Amino acid sequence: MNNYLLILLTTTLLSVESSAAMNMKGGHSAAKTSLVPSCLNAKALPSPHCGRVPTAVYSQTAQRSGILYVVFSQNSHIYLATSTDQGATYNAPVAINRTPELMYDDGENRPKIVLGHNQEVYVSWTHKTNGRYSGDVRFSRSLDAGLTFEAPVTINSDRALISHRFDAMKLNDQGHLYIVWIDKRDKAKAEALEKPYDGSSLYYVVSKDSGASFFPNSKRVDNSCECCRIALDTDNQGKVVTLWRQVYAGNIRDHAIAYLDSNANINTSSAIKQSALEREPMRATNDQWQIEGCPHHGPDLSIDNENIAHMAWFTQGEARKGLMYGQFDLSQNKIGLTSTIDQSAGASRPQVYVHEKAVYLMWKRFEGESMALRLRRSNDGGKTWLADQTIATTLNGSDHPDWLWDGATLFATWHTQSEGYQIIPVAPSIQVEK
Amino acid sequence: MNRLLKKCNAIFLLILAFGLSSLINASAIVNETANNEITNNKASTKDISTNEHSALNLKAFRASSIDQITAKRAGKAFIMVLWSIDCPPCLKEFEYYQALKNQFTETNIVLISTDNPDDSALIKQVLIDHQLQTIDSWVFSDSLPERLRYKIDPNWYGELPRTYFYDAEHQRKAHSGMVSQAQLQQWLQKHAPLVSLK
Repeated sequence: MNNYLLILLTTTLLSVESSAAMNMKGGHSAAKTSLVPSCLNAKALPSPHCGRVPTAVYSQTAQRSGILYVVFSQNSHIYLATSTDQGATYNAPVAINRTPELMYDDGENRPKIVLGHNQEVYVSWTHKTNGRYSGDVRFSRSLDAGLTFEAPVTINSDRALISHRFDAMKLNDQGHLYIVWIDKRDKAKAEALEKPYDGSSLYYVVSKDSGASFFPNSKRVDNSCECCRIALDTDNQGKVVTLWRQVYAGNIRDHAIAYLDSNANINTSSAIKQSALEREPMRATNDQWQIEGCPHHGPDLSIDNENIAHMAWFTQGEARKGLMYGQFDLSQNKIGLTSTIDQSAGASRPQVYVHEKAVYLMWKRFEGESMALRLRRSNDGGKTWLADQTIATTLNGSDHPDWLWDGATLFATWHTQSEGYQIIPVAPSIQVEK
Repeated sequence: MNRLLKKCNAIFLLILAFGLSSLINASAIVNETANNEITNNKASTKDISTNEHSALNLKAFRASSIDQITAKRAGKAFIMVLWSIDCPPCLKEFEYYQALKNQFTETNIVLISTDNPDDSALIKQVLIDHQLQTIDSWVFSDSLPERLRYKIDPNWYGELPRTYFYDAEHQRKAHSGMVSQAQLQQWLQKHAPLVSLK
């Protein structure tokens, strides 16, 4: 009875994302249907072209070398499609959730795929539960390279009809699988007690048995922003680092960075000292962006061999405005150089990728009539930049762009309404161009 | 072995059936909740009929619409409000507009939803709930919504609510975030309408 009341109370209280004065959704909600001719055929198989928010990864293990794995959403299913010819053709897709379910499938909140060291394929997504902005984080795995998937499980232990969304997933060098998400359980608790609570919190789980089971939900931080995607990468020791938008005092929504697992080195050999970033998150960007409400525009992260975190993000802060690039030194725990990517109002969704001394930036930029995908490159670790290039354009709706790395070549991936899912090489034979 | 297979099959079917039925229930509840959220806080929604929905003319806002909107208001001051059903502060602001609805005319205000036409029913419901159904209303209708944003204002980043105060010469001032009721009142006093809507 008490539980029921609590659920009732929290759903009522949390039916609005924020009691805000402003949000950032103006003109971001593109139409949902594909305009690719082959997708208009009612008999067309689900495919990365016809579905929504495809997300790809290349297998780099010896047995599966060169196989492209793409997850996407279509007709209330998450599908996996594989390709052996760089996405020119796809094998018949596998439905990961056999029972259809409502799910979030927008650019900011999309399915994730991670490949294990052997035949494992891990997939996570956010199931839409009853009520506005509510959801549960779902997970399914395959142990046979994606031929079959186990029944999905819900990862968040709190099952109130509130937000547990914006899942992100990463494997560390030991093969431990991490899933992190934005969770409103602490806000719900605070509001039930009529106490103020800014934003949401970040929760995570770890699995040390290839996704067979997960350790209990752990809270990483209070007061995260409610609806910006979370960025993950591994440092030069293979440890998972996370970058997210945090709500600082006075509704300042800048970014924080931390090692995801605050328990990783506790109870292990005392020789391994816990670093400051493992204990406490640190501020990674300082733009002084005060905004009541969530901008729906999360950061990106890529860490180099020297443990410099390269970051790309969007801000409308007092200190700077537009798409930004910046560095955070994970060994020294301090913010490094920062530069502007693009200040125009039509610029959005910045991505960053680092490989040795090469740093790549990619973002969307609306140019009056069409949407362009812009690319910028540095050969000296982000100090100086070559001239920008437009690598694709579209006249209709488009997803967030993403990176794809096959071990030798860096690709940009971009799903557009009229062209389908495109895989564009941006740096062939990247490793010889030091 | 065979028996085991059969058993597995039965369990799978059971799971499938249960899953499907819970999904169907789930979507029904979603709709109900969505309606409740909108109708709960307004007593005036009791007698909303489908008639009222169909009478509300929600126009498709395309790249050329901004010129139409300004041409129709040549020589007149007006307020243009960009909003979305997903923007809580916009809905809060609508309470101010509702309180001042008697001072709005066919031309001194225009509402543009940045959602897409798929959301028309929900958009209309919000307008009706706030008794704003007689106001000139539009919804973004372009597969590339950035195009419309750019057409309205190349310097607008998409933040909502976004309000433009046009004077009679169509010099405009942009405001991001909620407008206060006092601000609206002031503007309305300065640009007093001659005839009000019914």
